[in-house]
Amino acid sequence: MKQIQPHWYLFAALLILVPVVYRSHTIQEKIVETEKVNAKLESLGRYIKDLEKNYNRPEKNRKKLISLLKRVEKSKDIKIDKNIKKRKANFKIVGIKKSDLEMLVKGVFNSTMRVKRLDIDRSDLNKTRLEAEVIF
Amino acid sequence: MILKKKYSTIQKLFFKKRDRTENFKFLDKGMRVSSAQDYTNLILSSTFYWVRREQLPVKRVHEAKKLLPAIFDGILPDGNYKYMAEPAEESGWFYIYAYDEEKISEYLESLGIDITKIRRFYFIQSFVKLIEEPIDIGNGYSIVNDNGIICRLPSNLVENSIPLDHFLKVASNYKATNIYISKRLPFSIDGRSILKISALLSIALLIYITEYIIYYKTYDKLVEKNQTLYETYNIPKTSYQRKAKIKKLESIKDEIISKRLIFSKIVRVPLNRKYEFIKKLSLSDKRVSIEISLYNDKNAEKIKKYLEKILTLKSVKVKSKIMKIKAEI
Repeated sequence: MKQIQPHWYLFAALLILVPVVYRSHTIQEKIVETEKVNAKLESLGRYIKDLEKNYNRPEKNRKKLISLLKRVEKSKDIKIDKNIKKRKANFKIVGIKKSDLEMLVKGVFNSTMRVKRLDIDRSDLNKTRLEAEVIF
Repeated sequence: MILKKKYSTIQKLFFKKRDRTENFKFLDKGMRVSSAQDYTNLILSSTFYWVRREQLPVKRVHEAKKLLPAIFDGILPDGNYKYMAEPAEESGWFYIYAYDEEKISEYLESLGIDITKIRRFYFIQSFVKLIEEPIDIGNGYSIVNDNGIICRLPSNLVENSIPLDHFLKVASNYKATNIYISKRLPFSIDGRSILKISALLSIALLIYITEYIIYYKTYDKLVEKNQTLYETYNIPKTSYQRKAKIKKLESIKDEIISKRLIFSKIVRVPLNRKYEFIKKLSLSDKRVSIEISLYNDKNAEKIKKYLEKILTLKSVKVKSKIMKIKAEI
């Protein structure tokens, strides 16, 4: 009659233990690696989000330009020629007051609009001309 | 030919059948053993085990085995015993054995017997049915059947004994219960210690499995978080796409900041504000042209020096109190 010898129990225990220990060790390494990747992704994600929040807000910029031009339009003897599209705009103002010019230029440069072209002509101080092309 | 050889090797390896011509050897304590091990089965004399004939309230051998430690308890000298049972002729009766495997294997090794080369071990008691007459085992002793129990007696007390070889020839064709004796480990660890180590390893195994499960769940959560991060921050999947997106956003940022800076510096050009002013200003992606109305030409140099710090000046002309500057960003 054959009996299971004690060393077989030892062998069996080791046979299962070794791969389990190995796998446990491997998964620990994977956890550390994934944690690092996640931390990197999170910081990268935040950076992209911040960049998008600050420099990629076309709708907000469009609204801002419209409101600035509306404020300028209120002045008398002013001639505005504007073409505002979804992603870009160009406008021409003749007879803009100095204070309005400052307000408009400050407003444009303080926003995240990209000024592609800006022409200010004050040859005739009574008929200051402003021409600009911006991208939202 | 090669195939035939391989086939026979495979047969030898996996389909070992009991060879009826196998050699049987009887061993008693004090017997001389030939150094050349030309036998495959070993019958051990009654000096190697304790045996009793008992009626037990069970029917099967494996049930009987559970009772054996209790039956032998207190009877045997100290040792690490193994127990075996085999049914006797009458129903409910068993031959019950206790033997110290460690001591047997130690004794066999001291005689120079290679245990690994012996296929089966038997107790002489298992051949009780074959032993009706005394057998002379040749070392001054004979084995006799005393009412179903095989005993060893001095040969001078026994008459009409048969030679051992005759018995071994008959025994080789008899199907008896064999026992298992393992080779001793090179380091002295007994079976119980191995079992204890195995138990400890099993506990360690359980701990590791639990740890593995916990780690696996943590890893699973981290992988889920990884997916969520991609979705939350709208991060492109490939590093190439990520780099392109960042590069685009950073170039927009740089363009906006640099133009804002240049414009603010141009506006702050050192002028005599009472009489001087910027007449024309034209700013495009890379080019800047400025026309300044001057009070006198003296200030032109100062303005030029200031603008040189901000822009790459291409041409500077001063004519009729008008300074014309063309530059690149």
